[in-house]
Parts: sequence; C-alpha cells; structure tokens
Amino acid sequence: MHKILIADDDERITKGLSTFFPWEKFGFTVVGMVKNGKEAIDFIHQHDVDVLICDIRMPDGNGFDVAQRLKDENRNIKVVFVTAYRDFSYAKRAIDLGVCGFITKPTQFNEIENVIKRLYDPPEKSGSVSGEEQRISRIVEYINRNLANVCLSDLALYLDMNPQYLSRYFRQEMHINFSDYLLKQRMEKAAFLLQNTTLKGYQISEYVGYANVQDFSRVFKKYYSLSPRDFRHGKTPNV
Amino acid sequence: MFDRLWNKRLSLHILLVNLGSILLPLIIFCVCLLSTFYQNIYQRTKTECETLLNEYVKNIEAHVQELFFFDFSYGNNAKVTSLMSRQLNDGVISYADNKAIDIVNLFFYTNSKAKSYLVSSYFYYPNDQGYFFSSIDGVKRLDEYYDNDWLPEWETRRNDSWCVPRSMNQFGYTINFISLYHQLKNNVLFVHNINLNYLKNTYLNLRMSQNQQIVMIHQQYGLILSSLDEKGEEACAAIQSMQSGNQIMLDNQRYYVFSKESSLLNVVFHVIIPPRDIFQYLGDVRDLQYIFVVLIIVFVFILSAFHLYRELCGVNEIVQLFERAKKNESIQPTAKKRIPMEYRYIIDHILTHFIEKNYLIERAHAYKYRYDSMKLVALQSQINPHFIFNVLESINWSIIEQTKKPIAANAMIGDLSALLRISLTNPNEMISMAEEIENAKRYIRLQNAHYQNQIAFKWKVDSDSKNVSVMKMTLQPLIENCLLHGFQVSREDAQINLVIYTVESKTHIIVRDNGVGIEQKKLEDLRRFLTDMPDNSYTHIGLANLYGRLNVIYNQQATMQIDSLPGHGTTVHLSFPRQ
Repeated sequence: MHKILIADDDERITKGLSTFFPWEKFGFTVVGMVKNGKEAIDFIHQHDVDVLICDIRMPDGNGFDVAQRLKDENRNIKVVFVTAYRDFSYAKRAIDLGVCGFITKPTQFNEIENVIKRLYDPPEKSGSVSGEEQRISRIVEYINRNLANVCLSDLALYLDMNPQYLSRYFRQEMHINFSDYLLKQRMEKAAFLLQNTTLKGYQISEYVGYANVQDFSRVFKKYYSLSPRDFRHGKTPNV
Repeated sequence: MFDRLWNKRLSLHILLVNLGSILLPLIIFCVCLLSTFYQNIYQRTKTECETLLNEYVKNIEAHVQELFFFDFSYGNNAKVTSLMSRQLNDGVISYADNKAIDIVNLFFYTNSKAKSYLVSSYFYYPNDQGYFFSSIDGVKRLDEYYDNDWLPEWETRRNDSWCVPRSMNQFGYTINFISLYHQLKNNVLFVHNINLNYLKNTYLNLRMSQNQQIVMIHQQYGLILSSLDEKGEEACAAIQSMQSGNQIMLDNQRYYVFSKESSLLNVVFHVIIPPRDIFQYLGDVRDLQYIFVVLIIVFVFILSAFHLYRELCGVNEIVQLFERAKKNESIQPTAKKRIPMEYRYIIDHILTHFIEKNYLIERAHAYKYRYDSMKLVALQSQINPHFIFNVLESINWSIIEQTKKPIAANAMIGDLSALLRISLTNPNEMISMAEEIENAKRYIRLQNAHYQNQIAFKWKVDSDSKNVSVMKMTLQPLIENCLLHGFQVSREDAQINLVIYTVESKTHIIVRDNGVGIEQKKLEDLRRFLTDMPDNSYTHIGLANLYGRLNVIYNQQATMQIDSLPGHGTTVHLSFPRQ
C-alpha cells in the first residue's frame, strides 16, 4: 500500500477525497490530511509518505513551495497537484519541480484514477517516442495526406531513404506490403466516404487516387466483394 | 476665417503664372521677329555700302585708267620717247626737235591742267644728269627741283604701277597727294600726283547717312585719306587691328566696317557706319513696336485678371465648404455659375467624401458605443474563475457526501467545468479533432441532461481526421444551431449526425440533423447573412461567428454551406484547410 498525504485548505475536499474515493482498490491508503503547506512539510518530516496530493493555492506555503522543498530535501515523494485552473506557466513550473500529475477541480473520480494509476505504472508510450516510431508515424501521415497520388519513390524521397530499403523496412515494421497498405488505406477511406457522405462516386474515386471510376469500382469490388453502389446502399461486406 | 494674406498670395501666384504663360511666348515671338528684321536691315545696309564702295573704286580707277591711257599714248610713241629721252640725256636739241618738244610739252601741260584732280605729272627716262620733265616747269634737274624725293622711291621698287602717298611744301602750305608711278616697258616712267583734297571733296562727301565715314588705307603706307579729319589715324589703326568680324570701337562708339580693295592702287576703301545710322529707319517701326507691346501687356493683364477671378471663385467656394464643414453647418454647394468646371468637379468629390466621412464617423460612434457597452457587460460578468471552480468543487463533494459515491450530477459538473475551462481560454487556440469531439460530446450530454431528452449523437470520423488540428469550439456552435433551430420542440427520435473526413488537404465537417428544417426564404436570408455579415441581426449569430473566426484563422479558406428541407432536417457542411 502506498501512503498518501492530502493537503488542501478546504476541509470538505480533504475529507471527501479521503473518505469516498476507493483508494484501497488501487493500492493506496490515506495516512494524513493537512490544511496548508507548512503542516504538510511537518507531517512529511514526522511520517513516512509516498504520495502527496496537494492543492496549489493554500495559505502558509502553496503547492509550489512544498514541491520545491521536497525537491531540495531530495525526498522520494511523488507530488500530484490539485488545481482549479490550469495554465501553461503552471504546467511548466510543475514539470520543472518533478510534479507527477494534475487533478483539475471539480474532481472527477475517473481523473483521479487515471492519475494515480500512472504514478507507479507509467504507460509505455509516455516519455520519448523512439525514432522508429516517429518515422513510422511520419510514413503513415504522409500516405494519408497524399492518398490520391502517393508512390514509394516519392515517399523515399520525402524520407531521404533508398526505395528498396524503404520497401523492406516498411514490410518489416508494418507487417504488410507498402502497396497492400496503400490499397487498404484507400479502400477504407472510400468505404468511409461512401457510407457517411453524399459525395458522388467519381469524386470519391478521384479522392482516393483513381482517375477512372470503372477502375475504382473494379478494385473496390475485388477488395470488399461488393460494388461501391451496393456498399453505399447498406449491404454489409462479407469479409 | 480664410486667411487674407493667403488669399493675396494666391492671387499673386495665379497672376504671375498667367502672365508668365502668355507673356513668355509673346516675348520670344517678338525677339525672333525683331532679330530677323534687324538682320534684314543690316544686310540691306551692307549691300548699299558695298555699292557705294564699288562706286568709289570705279570712279577713282577710271581716273587712273585715264592717266594710264595718256601714258600709253605718249610713252609707247617712239617719236615722242626718243625726242624726250634725247632732250633729257643731252640737253641739246635741234630746232625741229624743240618745236616738237614744245608741242609735247603743251599736251603734257594741258593734260595736267585739264584734269582738275592732278597736281602735276612727271616724265622720266633714266639719264646721267638727272633731268626729268615736269608738266608744270618743263625740263628740270632733279637735284635743283623742290619736289625731288619721288625718284628714289622708283629706284627701290621698279614695278609696273603703284602709288605712294606723299606731301610737299609749296608757298607755305602743305599739299597732300598720292603719286601714281607708271613704268612702261621701255623704261619710261610717268609719275602723276593726284590731289587728295580734290578726291576728298569730290568723293568722300558722297554719303548715305550723316555719321557714315570713309577711310582709304594703303596696304603699305597706311592712312591715305579719311573723312574723319583728325580722327583718321585712330580709325585707321582700329581698322588695321580689327581681328575678325566687322566692328570697331571709335570714341566709345561702335561702327560697322565694310571694305573694298582697289587692286590697281593697292588701296582699300572702308566705309564705317554706326549701328544707329543703320537702324535709324527703324525709328518709326520701333514706336509701333512699343505700342504693340503695351497693348499685349494690357491684354494679358485683363486675361489674367479674368482667370484670377474665376480661380478665386472656385477656391473660395472650396474654402467656404471646408469652413462650413468645420462648423458642422450644411454643406450644400452654392449654385454659382462662375465656378470653373475643374473646381466644380473637386467640390462634388469633396462633398461626396464629406458625406461618406460623416457616415463613417457615425458608424464608428455606434461601434464604439456598442463596444463600450459590451466591455461593461464583460466586466460585470467577470468573476474570478478560481471562485467558480472552487464553488463547483464544493458542490461536487457535497453531492458525494450525500450519496457516498459520484452520481450523474457529478458527471454534469465535470462536463460543465470542462466546457467553462475551454471558454475561459483563448478561443482561437488549436486542439486536436479528438479533443474537439470530446468537448462536443460533453456539450451534448449537458444539453440532454438539461432538456431531459435524449438527442442521439452519432459521429463518424475517418482515421485520418482524428489527428488534424482544429480551432477550439468549432463543433459546439454547429450542434447548438441544431438544438436551437432544429429541435425547438422536444422529440423522441431527434438525432444529430456528425461526419468528419479529410480529403485532398481539406477537412470537412458535416452536421446533419433531422429537425424541422429551414424554410426556403429564411435559408436564403441565412446564406446571405453568412457572406455579408451585417451587424444588425441577432439570429444564427453562432454560425456567423464561427464562420468569421474560421475565415480569420484559415485566411478566407474556410467554406460553410447550409442545406435544408423543411420537415426533414438541416445540413451544415463546413470545410477548411487540413493542418
């Protein structure tokens, strides 16, 4: 069980938070409630605390003062701020002080849950995105932006890569051929537009890169086993 | 009041400009005219002078020819020459010879006496004793004769014919003459002394005008004769030092010089004439000229005054217009007919601009009033956001205290505060489409809770559009529009469909409701309203506001299209560049 100290000048909130939120369910237990920053520091000096949930605006030492003090004393306590109003300067200063999370007022239980779950179990994608992932997202973005006229050599030029290498790299990372992936994206886009818009067939065919509607229909039918017209009129593809 | 000094200055300016523009060409014209006139007269005078000179030369040369004729008739006669040379050489002659000599002598004497221009003539044939023959005194010895300096001249310069200016004293006064030497082939020399006084009295008095003077200059010996008396030498020096052109200065008086050479005598004749004599004929014309100039100036003044009057009328009209406008009086133009066209044009335009300006000022006042009142409203409604959120938080926990766990009301408070938070920050901020959809869902949840009905909200977003950036509060006004105008009456099957897709670098948002729809006429008004954006309408302000904000952010690249079928629903189609 991780020990939590709650610091807020509004007693209703400290009481409510400690009483009604199911801390035990997530492996936490509330060990104390204090009214201001000074008391929080005193409590931490006397007790063993893992997590401090702390209002930013408090009399006698606000949230930033407390976080600064804990950082200076080099204590391994995770700080979560509770704030009514979140702006960029707050966020930047808080990150500099090593604050682990924000809970905005009025407090929503699911928000608390999200924040505390991440305290000891940070999600995989947080932190720096790897170069490979960045490159893959660039590729996907480029394909989606240029769906109508993208080709492997253009993409290779854009990424400054050798086309053969790119082709191999793509298959390895995405587990699908470049051309198959492109077809999939195009057909999915076409299916979306057919189902949800009143765009004409030739417009959709043009948007997804087919100058000729017949070509588009043929490819679409091969992919979904349904003609675009049938697809639009609600028949579900039997894939 | 219109500055009097300025008025005066302007008048002077206009007057000068007019005077200048008319007088200058006139002056140039007059100068050209006069210069040709003068040129013409000068040429005429020159021709006249040359004719006169030719006359002199011809007359004097005629005398010379006459003398030459005499010389030839005697000098080439062998009898006469032998007779004469015998007498001059020997001094001894026979009676018969004497008789003949007397006759010759008589002829000689008669000739010199008959020709009034001759002082005397000498005949000489080279002899040892130095005898010669004079037409006055007969045979004489040279060294005993009173006029004896003519022979050395011949010794130094034997030539066909030439002349030398000489003088001699006789009976107490000086006679000036030129000696014309004429040597024949048989070495006989005739010397004719031509009286200069005679020439002067006979020829030099022939004048065209009062101040015209004649100067005869020998090419070698200088001044021979002039009509200038004592100033002759001075004039001669001036003419000889004349570099180029044909003008000399004499007694501070300018003279034109015209010349003619007599090759027979090696003498140049000069006529000098002052310009005032040349142009004296112009006297009458000059008076006319002055009258003409005065008339022109008077005419120009009248014309300028007329122009001045017209221009001042126009300027004063404009100035008065400004004055009246300054005092906020009526700015109707006066119907003066004397105002020139160009000023009328300017006045009309000034009036138009005044009216426009006044209109704009009024509009600006109205805007300012509205802006001020809106600012007041904004100030009144500005409650510290912290207070609002803290209050909401208190309510939140009060409910939980009561119910021991979060209920729907807590979710409402959460949604409300999220929306409040968005509306309290910069409205032009860009957020991801996913966030924007989340906000739209919050809004619909609150609306549904508030109206206690269930409007079905269906959204279809293609995978491509989830990551595009979109302006904050793009969807909310669209949905609000559906709720306000489509579902004023609560319905069971109310539904809002939201389709978002991105193709060809444009993101499209289609919001479709199955509400009451918009009548054709109202729809047309609405479409016009979206493009014109008038500020006196308060319906569909949300849509117009959204459209305006999008066009500011996307630099007029956003489009909004509204379609509706009364009884079936309304579709709003929004598109803007993908970002």
